[in-house]
Amino acid sequence: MKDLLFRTLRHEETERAPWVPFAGVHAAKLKGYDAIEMLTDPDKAFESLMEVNRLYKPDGQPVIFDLQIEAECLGCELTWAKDCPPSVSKHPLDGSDEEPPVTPCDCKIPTKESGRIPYVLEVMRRMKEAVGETTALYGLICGPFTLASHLRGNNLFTDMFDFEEETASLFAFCNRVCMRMADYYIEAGMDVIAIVDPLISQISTAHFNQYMTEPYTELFRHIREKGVFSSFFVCGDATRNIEAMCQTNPDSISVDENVNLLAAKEICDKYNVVIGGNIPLTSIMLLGNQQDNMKFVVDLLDSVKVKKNFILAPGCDMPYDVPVENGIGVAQAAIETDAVREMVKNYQAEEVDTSNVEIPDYAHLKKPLVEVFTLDSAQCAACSYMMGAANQAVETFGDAIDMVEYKFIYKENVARCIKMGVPNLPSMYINGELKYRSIIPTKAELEEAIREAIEACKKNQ
Amino acid sequence: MSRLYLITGFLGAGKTTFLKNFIRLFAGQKIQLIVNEFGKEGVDGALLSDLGAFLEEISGGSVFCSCRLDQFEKVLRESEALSPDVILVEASGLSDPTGVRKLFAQSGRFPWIDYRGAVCLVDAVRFPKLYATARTCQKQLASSDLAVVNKTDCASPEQLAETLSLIKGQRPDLPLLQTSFGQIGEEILSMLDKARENPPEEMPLTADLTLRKLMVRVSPEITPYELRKMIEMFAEDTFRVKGFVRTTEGIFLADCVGNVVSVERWDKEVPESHLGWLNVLSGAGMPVGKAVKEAARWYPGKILAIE
Repeated sequence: MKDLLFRTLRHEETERAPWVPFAGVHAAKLKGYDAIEMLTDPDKAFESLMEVNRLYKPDGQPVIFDLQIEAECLGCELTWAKDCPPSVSKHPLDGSDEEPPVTPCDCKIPTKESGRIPYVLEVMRRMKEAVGETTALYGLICGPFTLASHLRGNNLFTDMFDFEEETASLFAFCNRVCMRMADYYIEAGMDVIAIVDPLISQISTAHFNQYMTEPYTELFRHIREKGVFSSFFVCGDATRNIEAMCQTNPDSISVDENVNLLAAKEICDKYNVVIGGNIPLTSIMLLGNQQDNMKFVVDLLDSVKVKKNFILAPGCDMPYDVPVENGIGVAQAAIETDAVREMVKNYQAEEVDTSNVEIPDYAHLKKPLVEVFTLDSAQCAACSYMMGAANQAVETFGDAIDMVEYKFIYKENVARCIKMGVPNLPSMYINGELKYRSIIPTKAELEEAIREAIEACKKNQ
Repeated sequence: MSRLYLITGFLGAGKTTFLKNFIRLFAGQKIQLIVNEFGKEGVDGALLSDLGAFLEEISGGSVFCSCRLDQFEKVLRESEALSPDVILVEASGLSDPTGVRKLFAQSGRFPWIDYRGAVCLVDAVRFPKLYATARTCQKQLASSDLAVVNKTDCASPEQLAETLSLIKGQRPDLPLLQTSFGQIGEEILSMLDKARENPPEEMPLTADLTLRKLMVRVSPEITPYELRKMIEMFAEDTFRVKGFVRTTEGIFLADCVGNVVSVERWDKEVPESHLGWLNVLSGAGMPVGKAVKEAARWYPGKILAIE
């Protein structure tokens, strides 16, 4: 819940760590859209983000995760892809590295009408209206360093050496863009302004202090004066810059799997800055299975002894193709940690005895058997929707079908899952056949599948 | 098995031009080329088709995001079915290649791939400036097996000397080639093989001013994960870290070349006198002492002495 996240950002001790899934383009996958549709069409973006909210039950959630929004308004050419955010393919301030970078006129600072900003603001307002009471919303802004590199291209790194004054001026311009964007997003109802600057991990602490300390301190002061919370997102191995980042006084920072979260938390605690992270994006979220995800989260949460100054989140923007069941598993572990700890333990038990599991004689059933395997439909949102669909079918078909739920919280059901080879939860089987895996069927789809099963069972009557 | 070569180097170092020459060394073989950035000049389609190579472009706004290896892994996984003889990977100039490099350090992750080393392209003119500002340059050198100093025709003698001295300062062990227009010959392949066969195990330390050696005493209270993360804090300033360390989970061998950190369980016997010390070798140009002290601050009580 939003309040839980707010209390964490106010440095209070809480009953559990708040959970913020960084579902950018991954949100689109949940509704079958691609990244381009998600990042240009407000209806599709809103629909996708609502699905994140419904399935992953976040305490806080980013609205649009695209670090190229501001760059595009400032004249960068973008190359689009269907499974990730666009990238900058042409930099408007690119040129000879013998010449200093030119600082654009302030008249170029994006307005609420520039580029895709109207689209972003519309989605923010709609999300605020729909879930703003219960979910803290994050407005994401490309940080001044990464924005400057979008504008200038690779010469930025030699500029820092050759043209210190002009480079600082370009960073100051980018920071003014950030502040203006923060104003727009705060007005649209965002509760947390996150400045996302992945390239910060690529510069030394000395250069961070020379070029970034002043703009960032000013930026976070500005956000605080507007009455909302701030966050500083980096990715890559930013370990050496964590302390310098804390010194710019954000309310929170967010790091990825390259950083030892516990050690970094010690540093952050010294400055009373909240730290968020750092579920591995590829090895766990994208490539792991549901159990891997639940186990990682339980272990991470257990390792943070005092539930204070910590937000559970993926390391960065979740890959488009993260399997939905992994997101569901993480959410469940975040919210119902004790129950999931037991599930993981059951699953990990060296040998699960499956000898007592009786598998129905699916081939000779007289009427269809709908079996729903859930983490626990009373707690897990996605599982409750899967059960909801099954219950609706029972209402429609009455005695013509049998339906049963197997909750993973009971040991005997773990054994059944293993014996049946259930790949992930929630899943729905009809007559022993895996029909729906994580994706909840519509009423019409399920009814059709059941009608087919009824026909198939007639031969056994 | 597919032989895989990784090409790194900062934006503008001439990776694409180099690649055009490098790819010719594999003419007649089935070549897969994986690139993940929008170079100013792409590899010519005609050249690729002449050589029978096919190109995979990894697109994405997150090319600077070192944590986003998912697309790269996806293409690599698909390569198994294509079974090319050679895979050439051009890493994004801004991205930290350590992550890509680490993928291949994990045995069994891609069993059909025979990792043959990383070549780092260095711009002889711009390198000193970039090295001072972009940590990526240091990381790229740290994870490489060979450096190709390119554009020497454009560099003044002073610029070239400074570039070479910076490279030697960080990686005195690294074989070097100097060239212009990315031109190289077949010898580069044998140089790479040799570099990978002989990690800088025991470099002569006596009277060699280009080398620095530190001994770091580690507490047995450290966990293997902390040991790894602690070494990562200074590994890029070194070219070799090695030692047996008693941890909370038993004895582990830390064995790192450049910034590719390996910390593995060690089941054999180790004499007590050898336990708990990390041997740290660095180039004379690296602030490794400072970096180890910073690591000690991050892991209080875990570094007992620095000698």
